[in-house]
Amino acid sequence: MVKYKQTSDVLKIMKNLEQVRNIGITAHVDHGKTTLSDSLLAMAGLLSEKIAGQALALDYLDIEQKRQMTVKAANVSLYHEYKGKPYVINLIDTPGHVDFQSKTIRALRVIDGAIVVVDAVEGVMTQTEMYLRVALEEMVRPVLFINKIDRLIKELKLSPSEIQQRLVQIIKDINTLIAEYAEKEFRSAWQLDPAKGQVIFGSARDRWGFSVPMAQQKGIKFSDVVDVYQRGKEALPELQKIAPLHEAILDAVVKYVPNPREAQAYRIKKIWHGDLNSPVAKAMLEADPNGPLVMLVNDVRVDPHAGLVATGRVYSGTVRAGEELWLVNARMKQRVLQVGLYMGPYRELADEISAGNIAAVLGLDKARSGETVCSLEVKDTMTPFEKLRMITESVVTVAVEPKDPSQLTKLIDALHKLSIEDPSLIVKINEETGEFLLSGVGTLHIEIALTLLKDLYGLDVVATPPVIVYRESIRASSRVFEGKSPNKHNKLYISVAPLDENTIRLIQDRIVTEDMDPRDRAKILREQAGWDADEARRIWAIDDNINVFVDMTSGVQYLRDVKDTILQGFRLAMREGPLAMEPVRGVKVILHDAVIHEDPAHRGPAQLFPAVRNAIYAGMLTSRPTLLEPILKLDIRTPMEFIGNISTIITKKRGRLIEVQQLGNLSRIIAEIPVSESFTIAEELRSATAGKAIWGQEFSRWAPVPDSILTDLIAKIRERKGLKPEPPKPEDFLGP
Amino acid sequence: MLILIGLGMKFEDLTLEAVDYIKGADVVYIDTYTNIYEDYNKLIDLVKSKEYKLASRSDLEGEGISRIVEEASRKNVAILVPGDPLIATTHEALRVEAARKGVKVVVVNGLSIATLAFSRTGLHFYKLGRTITLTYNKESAEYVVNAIYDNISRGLHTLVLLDIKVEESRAMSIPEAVGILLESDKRGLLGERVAVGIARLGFRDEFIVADLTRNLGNYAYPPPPHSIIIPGDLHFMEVESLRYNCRLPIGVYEKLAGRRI
Ligand SMILES: Nc1nc2c(ncn2[C@@H]2O[C@H](COP(=O)(O)OP(=O)(O)O)[C@@H](O)[C@H]2O)c(=O)[nH]1
Ligand SMILES: [Mg+2]
Repeated sequence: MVKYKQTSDVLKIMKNLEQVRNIGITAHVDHGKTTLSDSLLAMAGLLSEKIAGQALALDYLDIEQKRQMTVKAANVSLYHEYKGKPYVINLIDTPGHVDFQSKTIRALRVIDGAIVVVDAVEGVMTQTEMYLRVALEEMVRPVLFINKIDRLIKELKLSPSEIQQRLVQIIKDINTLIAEYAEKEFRSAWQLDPAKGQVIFGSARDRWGFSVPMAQQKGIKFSDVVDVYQRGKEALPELQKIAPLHEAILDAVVKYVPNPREAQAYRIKKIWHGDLNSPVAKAMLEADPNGPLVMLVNDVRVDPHAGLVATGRVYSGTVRAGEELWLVNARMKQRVLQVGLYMGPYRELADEISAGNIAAVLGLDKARSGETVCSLEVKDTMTPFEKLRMITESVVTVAVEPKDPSQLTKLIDALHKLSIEDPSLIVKINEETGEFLLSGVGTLHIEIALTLLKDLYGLDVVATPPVIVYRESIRASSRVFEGKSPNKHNKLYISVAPLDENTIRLIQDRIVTEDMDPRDRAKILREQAGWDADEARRIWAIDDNINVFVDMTSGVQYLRDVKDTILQGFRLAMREGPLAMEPVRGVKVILHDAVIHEDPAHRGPAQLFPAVRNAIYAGMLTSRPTLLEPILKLDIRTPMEFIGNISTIITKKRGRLIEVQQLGNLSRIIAEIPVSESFTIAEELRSATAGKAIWGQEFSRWAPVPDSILTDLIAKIRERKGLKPEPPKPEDFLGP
Repeated sequence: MLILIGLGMKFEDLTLEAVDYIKGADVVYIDTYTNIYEDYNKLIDLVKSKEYKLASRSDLEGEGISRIVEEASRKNVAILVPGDPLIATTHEALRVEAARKGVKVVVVNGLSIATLAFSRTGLHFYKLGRTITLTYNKESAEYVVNAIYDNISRGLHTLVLLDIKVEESRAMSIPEAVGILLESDKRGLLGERVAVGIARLGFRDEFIVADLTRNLGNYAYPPPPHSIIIPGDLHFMEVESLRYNCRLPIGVYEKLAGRRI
């Protein structure tokens, strides 16, 4: 029953925002979110006539494949006619259980309404409550689908009146939550009234459903449903025909989910934190297709043929092929190569997509999920929807290889794609061993990536146990050390000092970069991190792990000729610090003076690399060196009674509670624990809360390991790398 | 005692003094990383009855220096170095450290490219300006070109040694070097000046040729080691030498003999 349409017809509908809806589905695990999306796609999905031709030939609508498509598609567009008028309904993938935090909230910003799925037998569960709460916080309007009515009949054998009682209770529970968590203005307006058709009863698996008005109109009673199930499978088609699920659900969506323009009028203030009086804000509040372009990218995928596809919602303006746009977080402009709309799960070309709609854009290959894209005219003032933290550093690493060696190229390709879709996954090749290293922010993160390799790419991989990558840093400044080249003909005079937090933040946020204009850089460092003016102007290099090289020499002969060699030596030294050959972070290396041999043969890399390294290492080893460990931030939502249990677990794991908020009978706990203590956190939290807590985790920061475990940890890392357990001494790097 | 011995270019270049010292040494280190030398087998034949080691950079530089000096305080340690031990390839750090520790040092010099290049070509040694190595390091090219112009401006010859990276088994050839130099020659004058390509100087298959720099890459040279001399002002006798010792093409010769560069 998929609708075959010309893309031009669909584009025409999209131009009229009253006929567009952007929605998502939320559910407690196993209540039927996936089944419902699959059913909706099968019953109301859109297909262009072009694809439909090919699809039929290939038997494309095979259920299994459709299931995969919903897993894979960033958006699935549905077609619905209500009172004779056509509507396009975008069903945006709202990731569920695993990564609760940023991804879920990002998707919630793109949708205006959510279908809350509740299992009729289980009723409102913790995750129902939690997702509903977050949705309401983001001003997403709910409609309710009570699923698995068949179970009430077949498993619980309830009578029609008992069924009704049960359903009333579920609606009441949901309404209580809405009253509690919705913004003031919507607390009563968004209460769900079954008599108005705001609640649908049905079975996602068996593809039937109805609302009260629909039942009245068509003369369906619960006793009919009971009857159908008692008669067995053969009777189902009757019910499906008279009460098609998609009709019930999509009628409610069209009627009660606000159209994008209505929604933006009240939602912008909640989901975007820029100046509401600016022209950009005005254009977004009105979903003005002629305003400056603003788009929130909520999903980025790599298409084997098209390359990187950025999918997101246009809040203002119109995105057109050929135009140059500004990526706010990446701080760069890129040209749009193609613009597309979704027809069902497929992308089709369009000339342009205007405000309020979901667009697929090709050409923005530096965009990552969460990126805000805008017109060049507003680039200097645009506030992004969210500030993306670009983590380019590895925290937990595994080496992976395909079980079947012939799949190596496929693995390389898949890893590359995964790392684009999830920028906090980093893929590197260990040049010495040829191993593929996959790094993420935690063990769970890596596990998910390995699952994706299997699910999306059909790759079975063997992975080594995860290894935490530490950082080496210092806590004091050193005196000046002399680093000599092996031939003793070159000397470098170098000291090291810890970088302050402000500088680290500026570099991490890419406000200060190696390749920016040195004068601008000096100004920022002076004004925002208190750098000495002269020193700030003399920065030679900033490496990926946030170390800075400063040249404070004057009039050193031949220095200019060896600058590149010295900097290469610096970067190499920073890759493997003296304590445990872990990357160095947050160190300022200052070159004070140098004596360089006059002939290039005697001042090449073989001579200067050791000279640079020796001085830096001696400096670091005398400056209270330490290891930094990665710290995870946990954002836990849990019924109140488990706070004590959770707090015990966190403390036991060298962690700390940062904040505990009370939200009715639900609590939100923000906590930190070291990644090294996090390997079993999932099981422990689950068992301590009877499975009722949900949480998100993300990389938080690097922190010095406690001094009490430092020596042991260094020895452990060194032994793993085949080094002697004791780290070297400063003298080891100083010549006679 | 520490004995620094220059091997020259081939086995026959060993001096009688060198042979005596080698025979009298307790330990022999043979430098294998600073230069290309073809007669290691004959050397090994000479020392195989005693303790010897084919030495790499880490044996003779860095921490190796104090180790060797310490050893030389107890034994007679000979270090065999292609060419001269203290010119171009220099083990000066060893000599200084030994002296500092009060260990006796003997130097037995060997043939060096620095003198041999002038001897063979006939260019005047008195006009030798700064000698410089053109390395694979990209920043070196510009530096070398500047040094050449600097020498030329004072009428001096430049001996350009071409990079030898034994450890990476690669060495720069004359055609390669000509390409690099001309590419970095922003003033654009070098191509039309005369230069001398010197391949395997002092080896049995030595090959020397003079021509305009831009043509110098077109000859078939035996494999490295290679060097180039870029002359400054030429004395008329030097012009004759380039013609008769270094096969300067007649056309170029006539122009030079006519107007001197
Ligand atoms: N009896 C019954 N089972 C259903 C119905 N809808 C979904 N299920 C089953 O419930 C399980 C979980 O469904 P799924 O869609 O994966 O839930 P999700 O975790 O919310 O995505 C699956 O085994 C489905 O077949 C329904 O209407 N009736
Ligand atoms: Mg699911």
